Amino acid sequence: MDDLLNEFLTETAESIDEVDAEMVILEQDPTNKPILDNIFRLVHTIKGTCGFLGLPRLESVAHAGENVLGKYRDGELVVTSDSVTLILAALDRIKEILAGLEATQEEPQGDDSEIIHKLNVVASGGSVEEAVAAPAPVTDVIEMPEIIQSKNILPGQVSLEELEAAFAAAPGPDDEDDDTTAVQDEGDSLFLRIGGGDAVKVITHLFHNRILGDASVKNLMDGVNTRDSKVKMGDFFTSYLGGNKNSGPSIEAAFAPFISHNITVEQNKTVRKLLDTVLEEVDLSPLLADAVLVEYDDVAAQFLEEVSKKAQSKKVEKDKVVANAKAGEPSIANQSIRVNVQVLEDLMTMVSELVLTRNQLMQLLRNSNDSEFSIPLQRLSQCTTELQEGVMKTRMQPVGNAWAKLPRIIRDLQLELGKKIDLQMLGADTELDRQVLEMIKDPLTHMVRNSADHGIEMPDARLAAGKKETGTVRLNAFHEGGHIIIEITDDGAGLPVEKLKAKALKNELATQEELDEMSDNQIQRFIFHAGFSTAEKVTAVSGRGVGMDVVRCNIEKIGGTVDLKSIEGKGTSFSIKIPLTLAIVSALIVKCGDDRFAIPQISVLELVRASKDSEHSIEHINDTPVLRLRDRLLPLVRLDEILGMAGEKSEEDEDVRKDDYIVISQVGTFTFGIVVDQVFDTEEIVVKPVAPILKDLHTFSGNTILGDGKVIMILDPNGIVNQISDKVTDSSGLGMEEEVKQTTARNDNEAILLFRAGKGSRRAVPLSLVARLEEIDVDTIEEADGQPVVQYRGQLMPLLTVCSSYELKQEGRQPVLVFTDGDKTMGVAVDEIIDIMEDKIDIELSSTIAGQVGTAVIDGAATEIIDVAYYIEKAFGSLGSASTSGHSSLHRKSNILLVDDSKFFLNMIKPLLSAAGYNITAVDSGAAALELREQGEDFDIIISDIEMPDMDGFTFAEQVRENGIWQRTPLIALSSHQTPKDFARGREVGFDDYVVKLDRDNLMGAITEQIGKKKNAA
Amino acid sequence: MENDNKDYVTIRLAGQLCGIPVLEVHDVLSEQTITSVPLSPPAVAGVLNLRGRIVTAINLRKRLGLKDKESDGENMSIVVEYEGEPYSLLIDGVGDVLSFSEDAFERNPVTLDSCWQDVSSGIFRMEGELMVILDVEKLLNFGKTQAEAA
Repeated sequence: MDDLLNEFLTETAESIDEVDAEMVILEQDPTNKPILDNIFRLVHTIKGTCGFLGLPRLESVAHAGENVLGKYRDGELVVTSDSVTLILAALDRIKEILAGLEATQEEPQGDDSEIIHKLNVVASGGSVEEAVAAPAPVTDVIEMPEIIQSKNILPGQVSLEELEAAFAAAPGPDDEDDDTTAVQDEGDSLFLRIGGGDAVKVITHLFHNRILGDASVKNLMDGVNTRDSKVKMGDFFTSYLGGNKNSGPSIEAAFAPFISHNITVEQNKTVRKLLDTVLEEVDLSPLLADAVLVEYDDVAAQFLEEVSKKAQSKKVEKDKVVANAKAGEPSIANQSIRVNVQVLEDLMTMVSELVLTRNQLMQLLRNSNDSEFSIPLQRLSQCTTELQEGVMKTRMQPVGNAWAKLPRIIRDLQLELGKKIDLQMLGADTELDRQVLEMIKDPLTHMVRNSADHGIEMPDARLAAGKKETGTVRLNAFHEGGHIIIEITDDGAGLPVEKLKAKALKNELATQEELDEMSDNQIQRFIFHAGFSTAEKVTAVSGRGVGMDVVRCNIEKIGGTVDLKSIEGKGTSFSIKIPLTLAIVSALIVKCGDDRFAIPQISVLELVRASKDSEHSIEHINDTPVLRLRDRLLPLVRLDEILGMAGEKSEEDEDVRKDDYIVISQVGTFTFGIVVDQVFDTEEIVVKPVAPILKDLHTFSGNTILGDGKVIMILDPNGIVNQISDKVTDSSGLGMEEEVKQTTARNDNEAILLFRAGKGSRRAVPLSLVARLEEIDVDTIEEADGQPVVQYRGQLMPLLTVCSSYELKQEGRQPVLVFTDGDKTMGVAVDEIIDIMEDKIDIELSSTIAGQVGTAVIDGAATEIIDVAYYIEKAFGSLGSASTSGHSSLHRKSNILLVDDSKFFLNMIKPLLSAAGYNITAVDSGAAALELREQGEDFDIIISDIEMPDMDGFTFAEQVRENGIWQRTPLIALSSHQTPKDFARGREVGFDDYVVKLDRDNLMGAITEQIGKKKNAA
Repeated sequence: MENDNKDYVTIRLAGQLCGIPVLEVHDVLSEQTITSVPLSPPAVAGVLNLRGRIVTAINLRKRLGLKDKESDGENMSIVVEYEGEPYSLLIDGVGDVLSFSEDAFERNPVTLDSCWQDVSSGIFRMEGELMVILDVEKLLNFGKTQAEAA
């Protein structure tokens, strides 16, 4: 592309962005002269360059826009929201044309006459509505003294029309002079005598023009919006001369221009003279004029005093003014040059290489004593470091660059949605790497948009809720320990928990029970799931359901995290944490096999050396290595296994190697250890992306060159975790029953009761199974049938122990967990209740011990989950209680639908089946199950209770068999009825098998059999 | 037929003479330290540092379904670029740069091993020997085709 055109495009695009943002500021603060000047200058430049390059379309649009801006600047037009919208529309049009220009190198075809016409109408004083309504150029002039549209008048000159207009608009002293009421009516205030508000308006108007026309006092009006000043001064005189000296604007406000420009006594004299002339001009009688002048002198004395007061602190003020001017003026442009990003990137690469070479030389130096090179090398080293820092700096950009577009977006949203939003941006000069900046730009925009669209309520709703009408969206960026934190806070409606719950249910991200046990914050986090939008209707702005999950993805891609806090009715706060730079990171160098690898320091929590004799040692549960660390059980992965290098090691190696180094790392909330052979130093490494061929290896996030010139791979803990979970899923197909790890997508958090009983680790039971916690006086424990029992609520409750070796307390009080099922109650004696907590029960190891479902890591420690069914059996039934293993191997991941009205039973059998590796969906009635059928849910097997209210198991089975997608799904009946008649009835209505409740072995057998049958049939 | 002959860098691979268009060759390297990349496709020998650039090394023998080299003779490699990324092709040895006229060009015989078919854009007849033209693009897009297949 033509270089000139290319440069024009970049420059113009930048200018347009700047104008975009500044227009919004101007709209809020129409008196901001520097901003207006800057906007005007930018648009003017665009227009000029377009003309120079021969781009007529662009030029004409820019020209029309410039016209309107020119009128603003000259104070001839008031900055209104409508006209700003129009100018923004013109900017958008310019952007469109630029895009076309960039693509084709030619101005795209198109008709801009409409927008140009609208701009012209506004420029010539028409309203935007008029512009829309009237197709023909409107040349009408609105006759208001403030808005004067005649020819270009030099400041200070008063055209004839102007005067006439002013007088026509004001029934001025001319008319009233005839009655000469002014002089006669001495009792009236001076204000009424000079002719009332209109006369004051005319006087202040002319007074201003005179001041602007006089060279010696003109500077008093520099940078002042004359229209505003006129209004203020007029109001002041109205009240001052009207006798209410304190009701109008203060002297400081009315004469702000004079005071801020440090009016001198000399200048005041001139100003007074000008006022005198004006008073004469409006034909005020000399008597009245004198009276006014006297009042003026009074006022002048006050503001002159103000000025002298100010003069004392003048020096400070002056410094401030200079500083402000510097900050406000975007004249930094003069001190910066435009450099192609590629040049910087190349520079960065070269510097990285220099650093590497330097490191290499330093290493050589260390090996040779007393080299003559040592001094110059030190010097080189220092220079290199400084150069590296310098180049790094060139990559840093203020985060405000990513925010530049936000004011415009918020403004447009306000108009579109009819909301009132105040966008606050703090810490815009916080710097971060260009690359990171690019990556967070879109997520940020999206989040701010969300806050404005979903978060902030409509003004009336806000007022009704007792909030300010104007909502606030606040962006705040700051550094915190090598990271940048960006907070996006709004004081809007917050995230509606109930709505999220409903949505989560609908999208099947969680079941009702799971939701019931979740904290509000956990539920609110659902918005980070795919396909989740809480806006009731999809607006043009947001709500398309591709929102926060993408945001989260993008942020996580650059090693950041995003979190949220929200209080319903109060607002929402998002917090993004991102690394400062991606290019250079601190990394831990580790060795595995013969190769070295780098692990980003940011994901390393700590290092542990484990050996057979030390306090930490790697233990194995069924060949799965784990580490006990401060009373927590950490899963471990061996790096050599992850990288597929394990095969090279033989059994002897294991014995020979005494020490293992464990890198404890954290991904999200998951903490795990990576076992490596050796740990070296930490190094600052320059991250380079891997070749496209290797992109599929998620284990690595990049590669780098070390000081010795060797290339090493950078491990990605995220990828490793993904790989582990992949492995778990993979192995499920192989039927490895050891690794019974549930990997359901759902968030399976539930409340768990932790307790201690007997020897061994902590034990746990789902809280939902426990009816009550009791402490029983040991003395009340009796014995019946060789079993300890206790009288409890008028019944005899059998007391069981967790294991046979456990002994009841001899004295004091015995804590007991009470379980009930229907009218049966039994207690399990324990040593101590530890805690109740929310966690996910992931059965890591299924148990072979009777009375245990398996072992899970809860709160970071191995915990045995007890099998309540076993104890109930033990207390009330004597059906077989062999272990469940053996059934679980083949058919893991089969989906089972469980229908039972007893929540207790559901809760009991669910962990059981989960432990055996099935995915369980539980519903509490036949109707709910049939609803799932309507939704097209498919299951490998359905287990149903027989006795249920409303629809019993037989009816349910009939319905299932009658039609629908479950016609061929195996059905297992579950009942406490066990007469042959019941069996026969069950078979008749379509159950494939009939199992007695609480008979686990039979149930497992039946499931395995039915699934096997189904597979064979398929 | 134009008279501008085409130049090829000749390389040896398990005795077979191959040629790569001279304009595509960026570098010829002697033995380099290569860092192996675990889990990578078999044909990727690893990565190496070439004057501060990280270059992916491709084991051309593996790529073409040949046996691994038996002796530990010097490992040469030539650096080519594909889609902006540098790759070094590990070969047995580098020969002269030869110039060929279009007359000596032959299409691949249909009976050629499909592995070779895929990467060769033709054959040049020489006296007493045939030279297989290796197409760098086809050689290196295997990662892509693999990814697509997966």
